[in-house]
Amino acid sequence: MLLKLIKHEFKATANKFYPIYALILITSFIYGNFFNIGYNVLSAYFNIVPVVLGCALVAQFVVLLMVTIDRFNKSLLGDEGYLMFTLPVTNRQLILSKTIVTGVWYFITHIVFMLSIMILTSDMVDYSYMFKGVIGLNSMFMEAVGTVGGVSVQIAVLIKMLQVGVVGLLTVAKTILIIYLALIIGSLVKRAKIVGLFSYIAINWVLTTFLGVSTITMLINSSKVVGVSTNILSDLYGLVATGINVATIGNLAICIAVMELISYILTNKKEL
Amino acid sequence: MLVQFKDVNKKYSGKVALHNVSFEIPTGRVIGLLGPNGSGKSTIIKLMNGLIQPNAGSILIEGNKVGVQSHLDIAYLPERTYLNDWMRVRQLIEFFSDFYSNFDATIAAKLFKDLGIDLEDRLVAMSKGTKEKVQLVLVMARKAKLYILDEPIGGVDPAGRDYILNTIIKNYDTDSTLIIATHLIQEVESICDDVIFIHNGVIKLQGNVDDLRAEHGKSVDQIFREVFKCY
Repeated sequence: MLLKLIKHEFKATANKFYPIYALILITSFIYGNFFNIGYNVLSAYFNIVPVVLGCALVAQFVVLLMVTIDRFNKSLLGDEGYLMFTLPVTNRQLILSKTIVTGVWYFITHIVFMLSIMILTSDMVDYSYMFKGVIGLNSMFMEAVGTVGGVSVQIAVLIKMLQVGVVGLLTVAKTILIIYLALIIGSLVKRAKIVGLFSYIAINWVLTTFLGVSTITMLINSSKVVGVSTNILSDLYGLVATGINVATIGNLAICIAVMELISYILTNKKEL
Repeated sequence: MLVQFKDVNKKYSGKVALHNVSFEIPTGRVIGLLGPNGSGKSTIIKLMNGLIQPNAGSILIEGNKVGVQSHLDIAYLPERTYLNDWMRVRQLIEFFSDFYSNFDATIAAKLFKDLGIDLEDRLVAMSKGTKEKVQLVLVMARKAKLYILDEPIGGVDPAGRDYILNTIIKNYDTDSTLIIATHLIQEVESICDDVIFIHNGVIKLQGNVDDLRAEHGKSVDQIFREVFKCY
């Protein structure tokens, strides 16, 4: 059922993003190519294009935020809730499907942004050189000798790199879930929806502070052992690994807690 | 019993919406949930569908608490238009087929054809009345154990009411139970087996339609007017 919810959520949101992605990529392509060969005949046109492109690049992030808010509001807090909450699915599945789909759009939006910048700067920046650099780093990494925590450096670092990716995903999910929680809190206070905005700021501040303080405390404790043993590489690795572990566990715990809170409020406090 | 309400209480912001409501609904019956506007009909229906939770008391559907299984067993037509405006009728059929294993897409397509609604039509281009008919078709095309229709004829003209009631009667599975909540008693009296009269969150009268007629020597509509005349 979760996959079906995700499928329909994509269908419901796709038409909001495709036009702006197409506009950004096509405009970037035209401007990036024709501008660089000095196409003066259409200079007036090329004065407008950067403005349009700049607006579109900003607009896609605005659209992302608007869709995140609008879909949750309409679909679960508005009349569409009569349908969504009577589907044979759990509230957790409903929240998770929306979080996953919004998260995917978040990453696509950033990819489109980066692609656009790469197309625009393709004549100024040698991206092939950058890719060669990455491959070079990779070779150096593969040739590294040593072990950390009983496994080879390569595997240990690879695991931590993957874990950093997971932290990135969890951070995005956390941001989306906090927006949802703020929207629900705002909907409970019918005469003052601005409460939703204030609750977003407050929840974000509390959780960021909590996570920041926890990470720093753990890092300070871990840093005390750096240089104590004879293997400095292992000590440094331990320090970085501690930071990544705290970030993973902290973000995961926050995501679960916020999701459970949203599910509880939707079940017990919502009044359609 | 298909539906069991036991001492159910519900308050909205401190205001009592239901007070110690208890009743049981068996299978294979057509029930009229009758009462004036704001009497508590929609609150009962929302509780059955898990859209709101009671402050006290218990609600069981087929002996189980309201949840994923009861959502599959209940085909619910709310008072409001809840469908996504951007969707086409074809996409709605696909949506319902995906989520409800008891949804019959063939029956839905046939009913839409009878109504002259093209499957490629978008909801955004439809009138409010047509949207309500689309919702009704989607609900009646399910082989549910319990159909709950909240004011299905409330905002419809007299000719439309006949069409809607006919669609309901022709398409609902006679082994199932049908609950119709309305304040338009006259229109539904002829199709109801039992009625529940509710006012100010309290059940005033309930029973078999034939028994009530025999006991009071009046039609259900007249009994309704009598029960609620002081309000």
